[in-house]
Amino acid sequence: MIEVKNITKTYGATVAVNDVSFSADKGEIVGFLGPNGAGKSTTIKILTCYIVADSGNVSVAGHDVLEDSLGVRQVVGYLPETTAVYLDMRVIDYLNFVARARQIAGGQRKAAIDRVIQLTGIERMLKKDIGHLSKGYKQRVGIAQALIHDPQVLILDEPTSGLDPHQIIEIRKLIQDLGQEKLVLFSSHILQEISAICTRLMVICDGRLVANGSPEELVQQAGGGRAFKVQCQGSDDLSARLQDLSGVSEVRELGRVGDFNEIEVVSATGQDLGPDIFDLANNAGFRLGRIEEKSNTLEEVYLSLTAQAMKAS
Amino acid sequence: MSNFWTVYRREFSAYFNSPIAYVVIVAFLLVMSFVFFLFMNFFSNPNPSFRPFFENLFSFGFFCLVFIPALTMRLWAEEKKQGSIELLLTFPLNTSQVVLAKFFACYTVVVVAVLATLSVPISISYVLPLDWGVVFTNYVGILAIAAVIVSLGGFTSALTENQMVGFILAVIGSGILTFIGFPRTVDFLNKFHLGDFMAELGTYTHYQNFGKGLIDVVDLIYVISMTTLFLILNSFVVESRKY
Repeated sequence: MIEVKNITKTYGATVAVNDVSFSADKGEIVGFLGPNGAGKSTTIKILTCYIVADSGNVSVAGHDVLEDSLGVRQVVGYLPETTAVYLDMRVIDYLNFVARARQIAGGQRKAAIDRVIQLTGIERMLKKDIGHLSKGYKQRVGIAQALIHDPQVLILDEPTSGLDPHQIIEIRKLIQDLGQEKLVLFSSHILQEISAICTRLMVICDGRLVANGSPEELVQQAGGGRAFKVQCQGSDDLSARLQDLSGVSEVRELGRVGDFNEIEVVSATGQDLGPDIFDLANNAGFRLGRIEEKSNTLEEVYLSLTAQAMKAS
Repeated sequence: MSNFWTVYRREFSAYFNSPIAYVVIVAFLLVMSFVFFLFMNFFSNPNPSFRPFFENLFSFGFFCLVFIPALTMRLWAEEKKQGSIELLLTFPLNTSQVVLAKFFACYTVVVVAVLATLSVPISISYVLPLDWGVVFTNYVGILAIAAVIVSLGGFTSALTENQMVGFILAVIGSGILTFIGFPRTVDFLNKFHLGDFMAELGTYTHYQNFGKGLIDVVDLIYVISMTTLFLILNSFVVESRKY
């Protein structure tokens, strides 16, 4: 659905995007992650035909961004970083305007508008000026306009910025639902958010794509593995036994916590070791305090990837 | 075509969603009537006529240098500032359609304001015989010149994201086009054998023919080509964001 080949974009002496290639397909939720100014928004603007790359090819749903820019713009729904809605219009008038600009036929316009109003929960705001809405509601109106023509490809630049925790959860759920039948590409610099809902993660840093894969794959690529903290009582040879479990690459004793020994177990393949550890403990008669996945592993990977990229440049 | 109307409607209503259009139109009507009736001594003039209504330098200057730039300054600069331009230009619309729709939306507001001044000739027609033919060509002339200035203002607004800068650039551009046709400027430029040629580019030069009651093809060609030029420049500036 999206094919990006070797795109480069420079602004004066600054290289905003440097030889980036990737592809993504229907049914994927692709998270675009990177520090501020890494080139996320530039890449997104190239995909949505707002700007043109200096070199390289981009096609979206079979339409080339240069040769058939109108075709691309028809199949893409886009939420820019700045929300970018007309503040002087009422919500309902704005949605009507977008529906017309999206060339939705007169008979289907009302149904299309009603659908996005419901999806984004803005029923009570329809008669208000967009300029008078809170940041969160403006963002919802922005998402509503991006969905109005039921696009095959949805590109969202920082969709959850400025939202409160409830709204963030709602928007994430919406993105997950939409990702079942569309391609959703969204950028964020909030790692937890991306790892929570993405099927694939792309890390961009200093204009270069430094990682591309599922969260598990990235952890593996970086050689970090997936780590679990186990607290248990009952046996001295526990470490050795854990080491024998299939898929375990490393076992480290972390010391005692209360009555329990704390041990870190690293999975070489990125598989979930929880059930195996539980079975082992159960069969051998250990008493398990807890099994917990170390949640910061992906964060460590991200930090090391971006640090490496920054050092390299 | 439906794309054109979609953007046109949004742009036209944007003028009336905020106080700008009301304020500017009211100021325009007040200034025009005030200058015509009081400055031009309409009531004590032994040969009163409608002709100076637009053609007097103050009113013509106000129309081209203040009134129209005040309406055009927001056309693109505001979209750039708000960021809404990014959505507008990623909708499946041609840039030329958007440029034309914005131009005509602003031009419609100007037409509405200019037609509102018809109350002036109508009321003087009660006290003095009026040559309605001349009134007609005066209106055609001012609306023709307005097209040039609106397209110029759209172009300068697209150059910046600051409305005030867009306004000032339009004032400068429009000022050059107005003053280039003045007798003194022409005399001065004629020292370099440029005066008569440059005068042909001036708005005031061409307006004077309409003022006299003539509708000349040359003047119409001038208006159409200048307007087209500025609309093309406008599209060019909007497209240039891509590179």
